[in-house]
Amino acid sequence: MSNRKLNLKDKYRLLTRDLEWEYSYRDYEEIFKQESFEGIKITDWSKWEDPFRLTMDSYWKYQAEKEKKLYAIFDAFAQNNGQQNVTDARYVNAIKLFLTGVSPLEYQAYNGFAHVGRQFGGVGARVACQMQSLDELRHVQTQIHAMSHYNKHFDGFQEFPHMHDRVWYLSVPKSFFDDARSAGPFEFMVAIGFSFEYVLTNLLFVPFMSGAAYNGDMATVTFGFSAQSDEARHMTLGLEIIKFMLEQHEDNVPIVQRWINKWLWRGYRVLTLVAMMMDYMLPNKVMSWQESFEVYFEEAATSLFKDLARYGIEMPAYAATAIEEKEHLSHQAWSIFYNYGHAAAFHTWMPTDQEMDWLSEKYPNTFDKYYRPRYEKWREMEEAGERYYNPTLPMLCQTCQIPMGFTDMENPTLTSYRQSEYDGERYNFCSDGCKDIFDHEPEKYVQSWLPVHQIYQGNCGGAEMEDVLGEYYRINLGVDNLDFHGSPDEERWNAWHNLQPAEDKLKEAS
Amino acid sequence: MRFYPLEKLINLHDNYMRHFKIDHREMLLLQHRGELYLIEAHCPHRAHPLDAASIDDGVIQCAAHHYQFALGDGRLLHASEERCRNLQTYPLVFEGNEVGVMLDD
Repeated sequence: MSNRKLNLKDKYRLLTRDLEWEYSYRDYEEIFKQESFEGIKITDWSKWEDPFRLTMDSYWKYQAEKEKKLYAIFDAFAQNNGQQNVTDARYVNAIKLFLTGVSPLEYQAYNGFAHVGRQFGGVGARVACQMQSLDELRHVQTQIHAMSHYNKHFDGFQEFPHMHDRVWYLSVPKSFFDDARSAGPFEFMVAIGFSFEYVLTNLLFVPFMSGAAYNGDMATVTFGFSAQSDEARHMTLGLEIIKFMLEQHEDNVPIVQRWINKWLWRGYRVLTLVAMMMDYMLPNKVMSWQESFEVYFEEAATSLFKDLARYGIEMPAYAATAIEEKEHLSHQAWSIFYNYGHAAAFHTWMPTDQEMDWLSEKYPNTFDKYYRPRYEKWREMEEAGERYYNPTLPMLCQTCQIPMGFTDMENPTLTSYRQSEYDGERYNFCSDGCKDIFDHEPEKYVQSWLPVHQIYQGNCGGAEMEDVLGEYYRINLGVDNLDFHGSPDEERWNAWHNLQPAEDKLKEAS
Repeated sequence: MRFYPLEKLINLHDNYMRHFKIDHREMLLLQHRGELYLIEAHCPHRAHPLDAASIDDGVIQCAAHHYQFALGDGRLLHASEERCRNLQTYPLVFEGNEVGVMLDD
């Protein structure tokens, strides 16, 4: 009966420590085969500080309460035809991007944490990974449930897991997680636990969730809140793993530094999608990508790396490039998607006059100089009935898999190209960060499943664009893809709200 | 000015294309319908390599965004984004059994 007096922390300590026993008939190395090959030296697992401090029974209780509230709101959203109350139908394309690009990463995280948890000799780390794994599974499920409502009213949601595995731009987030999951357990923890969950997560979730709030999407806001209390624990785990490795042995420092350099750059490249979503896909803007980057990366990372300096860890090597790119990133990304709007499972469009003015105001050094003239040309082409769709398959970066649309910050009109030769072949990169990652582990990255190469090799259906986009990707051609203007989504939206397309109004007036 | 030999005449034929790097300059030597051209190796728009470009009827079209330039004088003929400068072309110099280019030292 004395157990009742234990507080949660003690209960958790007992839960984890009781799982620790001496191995009598197998060697430690045989049981935890992956613990040492990366070169990380752990001398004492008992120094691990448990970040979660939740026992299973309390975990189920808390999560069940959150789920009850969450699903009540989903129901209310559906019953009140919440889909009709978002700002406008363009907004829903941000949610399509989230469901195809981000939600499957939650599933990959569930899978990854379940896998690496098994590899750690320390029981505290094992249980923490298991808890996070469960959270991630819950997140992917609640996100799918939240968005399934939109699937009834908008196009482009129907094949999200299939698309995640195949579609060219989804190969960017997918390969990021595949890269992490195929690394060793400690590298995975730096990649996902630290870089993604601790440093970059605010740049990913805050814009999507505030974007949802600003655009009337209460279902998405609610799953964001429901996940947020879990995220706080995940961030603690991400920081704990870094501090633990650094405190265990000084030989770990250079290895951890290299992983931080690598994974912050990899993660930042994936966030290109968020940059574009914030500046272009939200009808009601929250803040610009540049503003959010300054708050959630520049300020937050500067203070974080000040803390880590006492371990000998420095600001990542490529942070300076990321900071220089902040005034260009979203525009370059949206240009890529506008170019390839026929090959995307969501709609693209040219910003309205008002939106262009907002972009000029937010990006006074770059927008009018580099991007407005391009958009004006594209708008002219649209008005002439020649909406520009680029029929050439783009060259991709071997590491991040993004089309080569980024420019050199020294001369922002020229594409940033880097090359490496390996084993008689030439490989292309978008940046020094991506090139260095390749050069360090070429045997890993020569295996990259690059969507464009796979198409040319005939591994993605037939030889025609329709074979790849329609049959292999399962994009419903003419419905899910192409410009927002003229799409069935737009037509339905206008019918719900008795809106007329501008052309019809003109016709009637004349 | 200095003469840089590029290719022996005997090696030239229609659809010939070769990339040269002289100091910081990168150039493409190509033969199209019996005419020989020497142009800069990257598109003036976004610096995409032009060795992947298609050539038709005296017009070179970059693979990346389909910008078109006249091979003869490098004029920009078609832009699918904002306009860019013309393509740089270099006059060819024939010396003995070789073709080359005169460049500043």
